[in-house]
Parts: sequence; structure tokens; C-alpha cells
Amino acid sequence: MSSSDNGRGAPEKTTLFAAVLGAAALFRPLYAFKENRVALGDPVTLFAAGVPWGAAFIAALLVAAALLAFGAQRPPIRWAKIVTGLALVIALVATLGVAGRLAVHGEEFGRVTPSSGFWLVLLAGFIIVQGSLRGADAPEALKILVGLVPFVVVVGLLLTGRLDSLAPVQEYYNRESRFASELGAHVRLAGAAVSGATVLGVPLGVFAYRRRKAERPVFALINGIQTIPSLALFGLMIAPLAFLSREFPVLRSLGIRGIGNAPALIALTLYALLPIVRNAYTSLAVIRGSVVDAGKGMGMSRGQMLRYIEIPIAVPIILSGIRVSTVQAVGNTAVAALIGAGGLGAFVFQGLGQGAPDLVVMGVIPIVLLSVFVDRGLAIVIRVLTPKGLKEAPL
Amino acid sequence: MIEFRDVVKRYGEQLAVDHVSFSIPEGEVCVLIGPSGCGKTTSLKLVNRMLEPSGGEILLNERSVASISPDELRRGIGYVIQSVGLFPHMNVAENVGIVPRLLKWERARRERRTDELLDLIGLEPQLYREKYPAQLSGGEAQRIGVARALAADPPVLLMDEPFGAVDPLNREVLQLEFAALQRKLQKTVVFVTHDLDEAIRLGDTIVIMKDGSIVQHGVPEDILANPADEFVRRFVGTDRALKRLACFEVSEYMQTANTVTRHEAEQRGREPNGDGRIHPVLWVTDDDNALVGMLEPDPDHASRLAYRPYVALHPEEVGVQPPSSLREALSRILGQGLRAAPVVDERGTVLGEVRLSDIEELNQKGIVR
Ligand SMILES: Nc1ncnc2c1ncn2[C@@H]1O[C@H](COP(=O)(O)OP(=O)(O)OP(=O)(O)O)[C@@H](O)[C@H]1O
Ligand SMILES: [Mg+2]
Repeated sequence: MSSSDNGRGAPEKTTLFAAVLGAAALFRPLYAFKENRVALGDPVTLFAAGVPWGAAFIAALLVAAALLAFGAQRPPIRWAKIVTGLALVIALVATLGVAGRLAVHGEEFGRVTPSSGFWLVLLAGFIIVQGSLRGADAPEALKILVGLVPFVVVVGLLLTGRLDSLAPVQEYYNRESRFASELGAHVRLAGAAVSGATVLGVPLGVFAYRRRKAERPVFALINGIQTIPSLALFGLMIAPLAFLSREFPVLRSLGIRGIGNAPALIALTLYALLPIVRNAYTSLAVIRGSVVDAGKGMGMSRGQMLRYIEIPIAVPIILSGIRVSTVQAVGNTAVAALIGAGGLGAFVFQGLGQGAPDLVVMGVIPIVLLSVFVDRGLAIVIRVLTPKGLKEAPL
Repeated sequence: MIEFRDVVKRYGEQLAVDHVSFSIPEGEVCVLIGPSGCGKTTSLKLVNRMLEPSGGEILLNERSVASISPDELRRGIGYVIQSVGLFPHMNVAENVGIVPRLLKWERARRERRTDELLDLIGLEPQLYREKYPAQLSGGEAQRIGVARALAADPPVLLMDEPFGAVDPLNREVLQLEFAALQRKLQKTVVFVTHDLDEAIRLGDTIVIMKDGSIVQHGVPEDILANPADEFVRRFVGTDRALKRLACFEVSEYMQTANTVTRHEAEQRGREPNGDGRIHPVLWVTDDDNALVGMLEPDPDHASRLAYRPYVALHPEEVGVQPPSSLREALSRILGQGLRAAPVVDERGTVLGEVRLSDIEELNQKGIVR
């Protein structure tokens, strides 16, 4: 990254920007205190939240980040920035939890909702961590794990009840059992879509590569699907499926209707197709003709070519496609709630409908966490499966 | 033995290989040479069935290759492809050891063989074993490609410009290594190159191709002495007389040398020769018989029977060893302004001499104008 070639004099811009952003955000409201879930609420800043040590610590971290931005780009300083950023994120969430508890203490219907100041400082923390991690000289897997630390801590705080005073968490408690089933539905739907897309997409990519004539139409089709807005695609599914369901009782008895799981699954699978087909195609295209010739020339059988050459080179690339697809599918599945497929998106749309932002946040946060964990988890798997010779080197 | 029988390979309209017939006896190196696009690679690929001929057939030890299953055929043929084609996801040791692995050798044997081959191609095993193809220079990668083809010790080798990307100095070292190895292993080799010197150095026979057909096939010295047509004449170049000398070994043209000890030489200098005869050159040796200098006749001396004073020489500078070529001998002779070059062994012991007059005579006999 560009900042790594900075000498001593020039500050490292990413971190400095994040520190300034965070400092400015401290003067925005940290949370809003509300009587009920649809009330607008009274904004409260970090300094007025009654947690002086938390406020001081957060401010100190931002100052430290700004100072570190002026330091030389050496590993110790880089790691100091990463630790500062991690501490900032964790301190911020913890402070909000404590401040919220103080605020609602004794008030029966009181609740606190994180507001702009919180989100901006959070963003600053992530920018500092990710910006410094990217150029760090450490094994990729370690970087991924370090990047996951704040998420793990937040999940931990949630599970141990430290954030119970926050409105989105209260929304969760009001719907605990439904949350579990919607989360399950979300994971199942996204998982089924990606599995389906893998089963269809990998052979399709291989086919597109082997038959040069098929390449253009295949990619034209799946690129075309990708350009349809997701809402429209879900809508498009309704009419034909409703028609089929009406005409064929068998289908109806299988639960296939114009709305619900069937159209959602079809649309999500179609969306998930592009990265998988593209990467399956690329995974073969990167294997040079000379490499194939060399393998054939030494008497490798078809099976041996597959085992010694094609699979080791292609599998990590195919998995990268699946990874991109999965992250997309987790997001797209949220939209599927609109046509009655359920999933975490149901909370989001319900929240939007009721004008209850806390409910929206309560739906969005697990979607974000799910995406992050799936993405990072698959990144580690891919890292492990990629042969050493292909890691840094071009193919 | 490999035999091409009226082989044709067509790419659509184009005849890439046009009715080609020749054979390579067992244990010999046949070099295919010719301009780019003349069908060298295509001919090579027909041997291990990477391509199938449009007509004619190729025999390997009297069996048509078409009757052998491609995988089985290829296991017995080492193949060095023009674009190297190392496996990018395997390190050097894994690349070199892949054929033994396909043949299910034990790990220890494979590793021993890999190190042996890396030594052979002049790459320190310790340093290179773990490297990946992307970390190699073009020349290093090519050498690994050669090692990979040699790994399972196949009786037949197909080599498509195996040293094309190696610098001239290392290339010569590799050529000499290869020649020495070949003398020992006696493989049947089809070797493609663009480099005429390489062809002369390595080929038992040379096939010159143009537009898919053979224009001349023969031993190197004949091709240089009697180019079949204008094309070959131009191809081999105006220095073909010199190039041809590279075909002859010093050992075959070595004559007995006359030597004297240094002690004797110091006495003889400027004195008329007692026995009334004079040698064109007298090599001077020390007590261990190693070359230290020479005496030449002094034309200005009144008697015409005296030598000039003793001249000191270094064997490494003027001497040639028996396996060297006459071309090298000539270059020593001209470089030192002598009438002959001493033939020495590694320790500098004089074994004989190669005379300029013999080289001239050989040249006059051979070269047809
Ligand atoms: N797959 C192919 N399809 C069509 N034409 C081909 C194909 N492969 C080779 N040719 C043509 O056949 C001719 C001979 O090619 P070949 O690769 O044998 O040349 P070459 O003598 O090895 O050349 P170079 O010295 O450049 O390697 C060339 O004119 C080439 O364009
Ligand atoms: Mg070629």
C-alpha cells in the first residue's frame, strides 16, 4: 500500500484520517435515550454519558493513533496501531454498554440506541486496524485472526449480557425464539443457494472453458442475471412460479408457490452463479498450455493430470469464487424476506415498516457478523489449500 | 532406434511436416535444425504422440508408435518442451521428482535422484530444492526442465531447444556436460536447436529442415564440407570451414612431439644443432615432463641449424587436451603465432602436437567450393 513507502516526515494518511474522524465523532451523540422504541430520543454525547474513564480512554486512544501516524512505518509501530485500533473498537462497545446500563437504570421503559458518534468512532477503529493490517508482514492467517478479534469480543459481550441495555439487544430479547429460527432460515437459504450454485456453476465454468463456443453465451447469460436488481429478480420469480404452482398440484404439495422459499432459492442461486462460474473458468484458464503439455508428455493419465496438476491449481481459485458468492448470498438473502422467504431480513423489513430503527439494526448486525465470519473463515481455508508456489507468485 | 517413414503432418492447408524420412540409430544424438517454423517441434511431438501424423509412420525400436498407448509410450521417453512447462505449484524437487513419483519410487530414492540430477545440471541442491518456478531465472528453469526429463532414466530423449534461454558461457558448460553424459548413457536423442555450434558439438547426425522437409541429413563434418544447396550454404554460414574444424578431435590428428628438458634447451639455444637436423618446434619440459616452454629454429643464424633462445610458455594458454576440437587447436596456434599447438593432459605433460599444416590439409581435402 502507498503509505508503506512513507519516510519519517510524512504522516501515514489512513491512520491520521481515521484518528481525526474519530475525534470529530466524539462530539456527536454516542447514543440516544428513548422512552419507547419508536420515540426519537434524547441524544447523549460520550462525555455526558457518565463514564468518564471510558471517555478518557477512547480519547487517549485516538490521540495515540494520531501520534503513531507520524511515526516511521516500521513493524513495531504498525502493530502498535493495530492494537490501538482493536482497543478503540472494544473500548467503545464496552463503554456504550456501561453507559446504556447507567442511563436506563430504574427507568422501566427506557432504552438506548447507538447513534452517529458511536458508528463513526467504530468506523475509525476499523479503518485503523484494517489499514495497518493490510501491509503488515505477518502470515495471512494471523492477520485474518487479528481482524476477527473485535467481532469475537462483541459477540462475547452480547452473550454475557453486557450490552443488554441497548435497544437493538432489547429488540432481540423480545423475539428470542423467532430470532433463532430466522437465523436458521437465513443460513439455510444462503447455504442452499451457494450449494446449488456450486453444483451448477463449477461444471458450467468447466464446460465454458472446454467448449470455446459456449464461453460467450454462458457468460452473457450469467452476467445478464447479475445486472437485474435483486428486488426485481425476486419479483420476476413470483408470476411464473405462481402459475406453475396453480397448474401442477404436485409442485404445490412440495411447497412451491409464487412467494416463499422456492422463488427466493431460485433467485439467490442464479445470483450466486457468476463468481463461481467465472472462477471455475479462470481456474482452468490459468493452467498454461505448456504445463498441460509437460504433464501429458511425461505420460500422465487423465486422472493423474487431475490429481497432480488441475486440482491443486484450480481448487483454491474455485473456492475463492465460492467465498465471494457466499458473502453476496448472505446479503442477498436479506432481501428475500420481502417475498416471504424469512431470514434475518424479515427483522429489517419489519423494523422499516414499524419505523423502529433498533429492530433494523438488530437484523443488520447479525447479517454483518455472519458475512464477516463466513468470509474470513473461507479465506483461511483457501489460504491453507493454496499450494505454496502459487501464493505470492503469479501463475 | 527411431525411424521416420514418409511422415506428413498437416495443419489445415499447411504442411508442417512434408514427407519426412530419416532414422536415428540407437544411442545416437540426432539434431534437428532449421529456421523458425520449419517443423522441428512438430516432428518431435509426433514421436511421443503429442501429435498424430496425417500420413506415414514413426517406428520406435521397429514398433509403430501408433500401436503403443500414448501414456505407456511417453513413460519411456524423456521430453523437454520448448516452453519448459514447469509445474508452478510444485517446488524444484517436486518438479524433478514427478516422473519417479508417477512410477511409484520410494521417497528416499526419489530424493537421492533429485539431488543427483540437480548436481548434474549445475544447480546446488541445497539452494534450489525448495524454490518455486516463479523464483527461477529462465535459464535455471530450462535446466530443471532437462533434469525432470532425465529423472527416470528413459532410453529415449526428445529435447526441444533445451538450452535456448541459457547464457553462452553456461550453455557451453551444459553442452559439454550433456556430451559427456551421453557418452556414458548412450541414449537415443532427438535434439532441436537453433544454434549451429550446438548442433555440431552434440549431434552424431544433423537434419537440416526447411518448410517441413529435410534439405540435408548427415554427419556434421559432411554437412559443413558439402552443403547440399544454396539454402544450407547460407544456413551454415561463411565460416563453415572454421565450424567444421569443431567436428574433429585433437586426439585423432595428434602427431608425435619432440621434447627436450629445460637443461638441454638452455644449452642448445643459439648453438648450431649437433646432429645436423632441425625440428619446426621443440617443446621444453621440466623434470616432471610438464610443458614449460619451446624452442623454434632461428632463420637468421648463419648455419640455419640453430634455435632461437628458449621461450617460456604456460600449458593452459597454449596447450590443447585430446578431447578438444581442431578449432580450438587452430585458435591456440593463431593466438600464439606458432606452427603447432602442444597436446597436453591436465597436468601439462606433453602428449603430442597438432600441426598447422595438418589442419590446412584437412581443410583443403574436405571443403568443396
Ligand atoms: N497447432 C497448430 N495449428 C496450426 N499450425 C501450427 C500449429 N502448430 C504449429 N503450426 C505451424 O506449423 C509450422 C511448424 O511449427 P513448429 O512449431 O514445428 O516450428 P518450429 O520449427 O519448432 O519453430 P521454432 O523454431 O520457432 O520453434 C509453423 O508454421 C506453425 O505456424
Ligand atoms: Mg519449436
